[in-house]
Amino acid sequence: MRVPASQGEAGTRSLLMTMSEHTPTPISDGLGRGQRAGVLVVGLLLIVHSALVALWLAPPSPVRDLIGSSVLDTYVDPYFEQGTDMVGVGSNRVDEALSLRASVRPEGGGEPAVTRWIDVTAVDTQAIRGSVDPSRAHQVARRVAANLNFALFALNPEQRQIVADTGADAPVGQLERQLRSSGGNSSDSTNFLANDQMATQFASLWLGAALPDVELLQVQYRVGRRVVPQRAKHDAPALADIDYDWFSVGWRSTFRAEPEARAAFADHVGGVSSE
Amino acid sequence: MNDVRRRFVAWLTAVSDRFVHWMVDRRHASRGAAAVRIGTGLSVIGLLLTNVTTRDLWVGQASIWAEPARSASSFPELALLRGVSPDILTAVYALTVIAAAAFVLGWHTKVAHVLTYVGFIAIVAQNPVVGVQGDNLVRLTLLWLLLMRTAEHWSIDAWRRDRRSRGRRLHRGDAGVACEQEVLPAWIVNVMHNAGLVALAAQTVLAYTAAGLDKISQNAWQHGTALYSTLQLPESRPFPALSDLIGSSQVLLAILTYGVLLVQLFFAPLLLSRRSRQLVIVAALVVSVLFAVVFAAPWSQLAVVAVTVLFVPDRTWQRVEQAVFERVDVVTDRFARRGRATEGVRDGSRGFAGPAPRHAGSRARR
Repeated sequence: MRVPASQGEAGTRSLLMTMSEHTPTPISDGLGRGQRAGVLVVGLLLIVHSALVALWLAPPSPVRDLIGSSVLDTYVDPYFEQGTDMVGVGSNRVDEALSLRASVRPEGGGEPAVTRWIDVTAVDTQAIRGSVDPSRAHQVARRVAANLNFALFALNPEQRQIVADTGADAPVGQLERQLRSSGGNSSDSTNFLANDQMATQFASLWLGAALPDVELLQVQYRVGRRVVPQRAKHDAPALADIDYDWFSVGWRSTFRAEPEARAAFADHVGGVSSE
Repeated sequence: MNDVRRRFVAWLTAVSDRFVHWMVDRRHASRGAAAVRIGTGLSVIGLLLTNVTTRDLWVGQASIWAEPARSASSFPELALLRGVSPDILTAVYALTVIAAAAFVLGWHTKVAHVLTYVGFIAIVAQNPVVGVQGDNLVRLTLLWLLLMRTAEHWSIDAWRRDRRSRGRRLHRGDAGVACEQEVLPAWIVNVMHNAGLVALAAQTVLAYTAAGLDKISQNAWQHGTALYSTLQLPESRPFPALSDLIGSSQVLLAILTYGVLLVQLFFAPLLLSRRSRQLVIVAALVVSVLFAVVFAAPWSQLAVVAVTVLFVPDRTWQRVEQAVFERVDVVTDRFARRGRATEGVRDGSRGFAGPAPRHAGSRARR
C-alpha cells in the first residue's frame, strides 16, 4: 500500500522532479561502497558550506558566536564573500557629496590662489542622468564620500578636530600619530587614514585634470551629507532644498601620478574647470 | 529504543539512497543551467562594455588612488592586472569580453568559462570602492557553474556534438555515441554537475532570504519608506520623471514594497509547489526588470534574473524551446522558398518554387 507523502515532502519532491528531465540512465546501481560514500561526502560538504554561508549572512547569534566570526570570515573570504543586497536593491536615505578645491599657482608664476569648491558628485549626477547603464567611473566620488563619512563617524570628536586641523605643512606621519594618541579604536584610525589617502589622491587627479593650466600646490576635500525628508510630512522640503552638512579636512599635499593616469582623468573630467 | 534506532537507520539509508540516485544517475536542470550560462555571460559582457571607455579610470593605472582598498582584497587574480600598462589592460579586457561571448554562445564552453571567471575577478576586483553586490552574484554564479555542464543545450558545442553524433550514427549505428567526449567517468561528471546545481540553488535561495530578512529588520522597510527614500537620492534617479512617478504614488510604493518583501522573504518556501513557484519566479523577474530600469542597473539585475530562472523546470524550457524553434523554422522556410522562387525567376522558370518540406534543413534540437 502506498503511503501518502507529507505536504512538505511532496513539495520538495516536486521541486527535485522539475529539475530532472533527462533520459534516465541509472548508473548508481553499479557504484561501489567507496564511490557511494564519496557522493554522500559531497552532499555533506554542500550542507556544511550552505550552513556556513547562512551563518555568515545571519545577524549575531549564539550559534554564530560558537563558531566564531573570524572562522566564518576566513571561510568566505574572498570567493564566497557576499552581502545581503545581492538581489534587488538596498535602501538608503542619506545623500552624500564630495567637493574638491585646490591651492594653485598660475602658469608662468604669480601669487597662489584658492579655487572654488567643485562638487564632483553633482558632476557625476549630471553625467548619469538619462543613462540606462551608467559607468562605474561616475560612482567614484559618491563612494569615496560615503566611505569617508563612515570613517569620520567612527572617530571621536577630538580625532575629527585633528583631521580638520592637520594641514599639508604637517610632518609626514603626524596625522597618524595624533589620531592614534587621541583614544578611539586603532582600526578606526587606520580606516580613516586609508580613506583619507584615497580621497587625497583622487582629488589630486581630478583637480589636475579639471585645472590643466595651473600648477596644483595643495588640495582639500570636504564631504557632505543630507537626509531625505520623511514622506509623511506634508510640509517637508524636497531633498534638493536641504543643504549638506559639510565636513572639511585640512589641506593635503598634491599627489603626482603617472602620465597615463593623468591622461585617463583628463579624458574623463573633460570640460569641467574652475571659474 | 532499539526499534526507534532501527527505524531511524532505515530512514537514513532510504534518504541517502535517494540522494545518491539523484546525484549520480543523471544531470538535472540542464536547460536551466544553459539559461544561467547565457544570462550571466551577457551580464559580464554588458558590464565590461559599459565601462570600456573608462576602463583606465575604473581599473587601470588611473585607479591608483584605490590602492589602499585594493590592498585589503585577497583575490589572487588581482595580480594579473596590478600596475599593468594600459595596453595589457586592454588586451585582458578584450580577452575577457571575447571569452564571455564564447561562453554565452557555448563555444569551447569550459575554456571560455574559466577565462571569463578569472578575467572577471581580475578586472572587477581591481577597484573595490565602486564594486556592487551584483559583482558578487556574478562571481558566485560563475564559480558554481564551473562544476556544471552548462553547454548541453543552446550552445555551439551542443550543435557540433549533435552533428558529430549524426555522422557517426550514419556510419556505425547508435552504439558508442553517448559520452564520447567525457574524460571523467559519467558518474563523476553527474555528481559534479548536480553538486554545482545544488550549491547554486542554495546560494540563490540564501541570497533572496538574507535580503528579505535584512529588509524586515530595518525601520525604513517596516514603515514602507525605504523605496521612497532611495528614489529621492540623486544617484538612484537616472530618470527623474520615472522616479517621481513611482515616488509620488502611495499605491505603487506599497505594491512594490510588499512585492519586494514577499518575493525575497518567501522565495524559498514558494519554490516548493508548482503553482507558487511559477508565481514567485514571475514576480521576481518583474521586480528585477523594474529595478533594472528605474535604478539603471541592467547588468546586476540581469545576473539576478539569470540565477532566478535556474528554478524554471526543464519541461517549461522545452516548451519555450519548441515554440522558438517552430517560429524560426517558419521564418527559415519562408526565406528558403523565397530564395528558390528567385532562382526560378532567374533561371527563366515559373516563380512558384513549390512548398518546402516542413522541417527540411531545420537545426538539430537539443
